[in-house]
Amino acid sequence: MSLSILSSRIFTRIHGFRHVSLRNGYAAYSRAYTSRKRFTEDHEWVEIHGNIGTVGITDYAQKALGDVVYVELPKVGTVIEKADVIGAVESVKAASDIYAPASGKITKVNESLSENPGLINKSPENEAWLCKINLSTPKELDELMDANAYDAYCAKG
Amino acid sequence: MNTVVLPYIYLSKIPYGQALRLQNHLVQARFKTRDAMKKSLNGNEHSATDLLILLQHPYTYTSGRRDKGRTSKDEERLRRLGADYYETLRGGQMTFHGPGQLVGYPILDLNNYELSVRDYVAAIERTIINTCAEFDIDAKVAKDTGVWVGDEKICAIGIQVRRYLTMHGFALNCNNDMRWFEHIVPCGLQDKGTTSISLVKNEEVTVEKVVPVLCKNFGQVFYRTVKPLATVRDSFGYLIELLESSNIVNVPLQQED
Repeated sequence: MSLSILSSRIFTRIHGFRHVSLRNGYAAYSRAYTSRKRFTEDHEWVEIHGNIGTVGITDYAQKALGDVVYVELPKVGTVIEKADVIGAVESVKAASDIYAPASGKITKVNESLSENPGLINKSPENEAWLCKINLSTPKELDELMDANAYDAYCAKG
Repeated sequence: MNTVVLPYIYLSKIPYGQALRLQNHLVQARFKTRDAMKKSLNGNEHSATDLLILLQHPYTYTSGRRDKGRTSKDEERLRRLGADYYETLRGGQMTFHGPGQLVGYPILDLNNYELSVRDYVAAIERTIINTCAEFDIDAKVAKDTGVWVGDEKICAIGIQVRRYLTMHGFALNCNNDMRWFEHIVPCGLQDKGTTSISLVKNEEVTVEKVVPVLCKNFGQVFYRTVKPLATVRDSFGYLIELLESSNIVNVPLQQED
């Protein structure tokens, strides 16, 4: 993923908002898992449950991309190293590469994105997860940002 | 005029494969520089400079990322016409390149422009619209990406972004032979046609005539002064070294009048 937002100041406010006062209990949910969700500088997120990391692109990323028309997913069974290209998201004639946030083996991909790539815009950090990785080196995740650090990173533009 | 210089090179005829290798060479070099800067090693601003590559390709068809691995039939058919064929990792779908078409591959770090991917595509569109306007052509954006004159596309756009670095780009029809488009459905749009600056103007407008106009307008949209690399070589020694070491193209370093 590759993006920064032109109107970063305005956007940051919206983005920061999410963590402060989202309704319907999502904020509480998100906080409970804050320690288990990590973010990359390329705007991917990874949520960790035991040995499995679920990967997607962030809300910030989908906004910067615009309407997503195609999602390229990795193949189940592929062994990947951190920072390998694992797919791409195409919007408005621009294909943006997606990078692995951690090493391991792809155990599952979100097939519904093939039929419905626009799900990335609707639910980037929940329903539109991209793939699940059986993590081979969970320690790598320590190098990634937590939610607060990622917010600050996005705010910087 | 903006004081920040964006250098450009213009290659009057370069096969698609070579131009692709050149782009990858530049992007890979910048990844390395970026890593070095992160580790506070040798990297400095000058070793990470943007470049606008302008060129013309010989007859070539290319497909976009979403059709990767699924175009062997098209390939066979189109190669029989005497054209090159490539599956690419850019956005967009099938398109054509050939002599008389001005192709632009900006190798830019979007961080330098504070542009999102979406805004970058819009900036390219704006550049082309402004360029067309200087030829008294009323070009517009439409629902489908690219730049249009009425229902006919004058410029196709297809981009790949890797860690904020852009490659691939746009293809503006100047005076190319439009019959080559008849063999494909450009960009997957069935009901739309294609046109060129020369067709709209009803006079011959060459790529060479469009290049300086394009550069001026690219600079205005991206807040840069776009200059031939050859004229600013003292400030861009690293870039010249990088291009020469690529052994991919003979970069015209002597500015022609």
